[in-house]
Amino acid sequence: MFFLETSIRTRVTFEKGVNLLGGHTILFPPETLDKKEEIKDVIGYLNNWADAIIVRHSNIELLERMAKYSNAPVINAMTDVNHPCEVLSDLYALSKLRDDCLADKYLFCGRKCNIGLAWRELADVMKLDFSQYCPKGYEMENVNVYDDIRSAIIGKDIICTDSLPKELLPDFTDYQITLDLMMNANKGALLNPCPPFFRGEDVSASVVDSGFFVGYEFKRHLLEVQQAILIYCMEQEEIIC
Amino acid sequence: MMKHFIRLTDYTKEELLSVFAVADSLKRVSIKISCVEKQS
Repeated sequence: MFFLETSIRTRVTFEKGVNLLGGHTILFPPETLDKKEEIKDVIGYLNNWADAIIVRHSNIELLERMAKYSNAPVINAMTDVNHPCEVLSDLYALSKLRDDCLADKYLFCGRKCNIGLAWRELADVMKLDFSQYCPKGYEMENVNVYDDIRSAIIGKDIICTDSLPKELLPDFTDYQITLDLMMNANKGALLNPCPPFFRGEDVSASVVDSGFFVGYEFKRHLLEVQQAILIYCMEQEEIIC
Repeated sequence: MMKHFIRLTDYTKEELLSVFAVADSLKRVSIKISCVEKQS
């Protein structure tokens, strides 16, 4: 596993998940992959011992190069352009809460970034009704975009947010999801803020403390979904062998 | 081909739903184990 020491949720659930499946994890900081040694050579040696390689690294092209040479599945645990485990786990969690999560209407509030782009990937594959709310200049391509949050939230079922770097906060003046705004969404709508969220920035304190918030337990499914991803990828390997 | 998990768009809807099915089966195993532990 190539992970930042400071990673919490994804790392804890991958480490626990692997251990529960009878495996062992070995943790490296992601900068281990930024050494002078060619990635082909790094993976060439890891092929002797690793059964799966779980990577959090800014550069997705590095993961794709690793996959090219790896005999074991390479699992993306977040890059600068997506976070597939996180959003797949979210959809799985929603499938346990909603009558038909594939028919719900999704709104992502935030800039074009790894979380929004991951939701767009998921929406493309699962044919979700997916829109983005953001100020001009922060839009994702090929997505229905609103620049007014009050219009955006009407008719939506699942409101997803992502926090912003401090320097971008002045551009997102009406960005905060509040109780008042959630009242304009569909009946039974849920707020799914991507952690870490910040009370008073992407979400108001009162909306996080309300029934709209999906709750901390929403993320408990990261454990079995990430285990399932590992098993699924490894099963493909066995079938081919 | 080796299956990696790098982009969701590398998968079909059916493949991602089969990952959910694996997750469901893991939960069932986990529940059964906890029941056995309680009985013993």
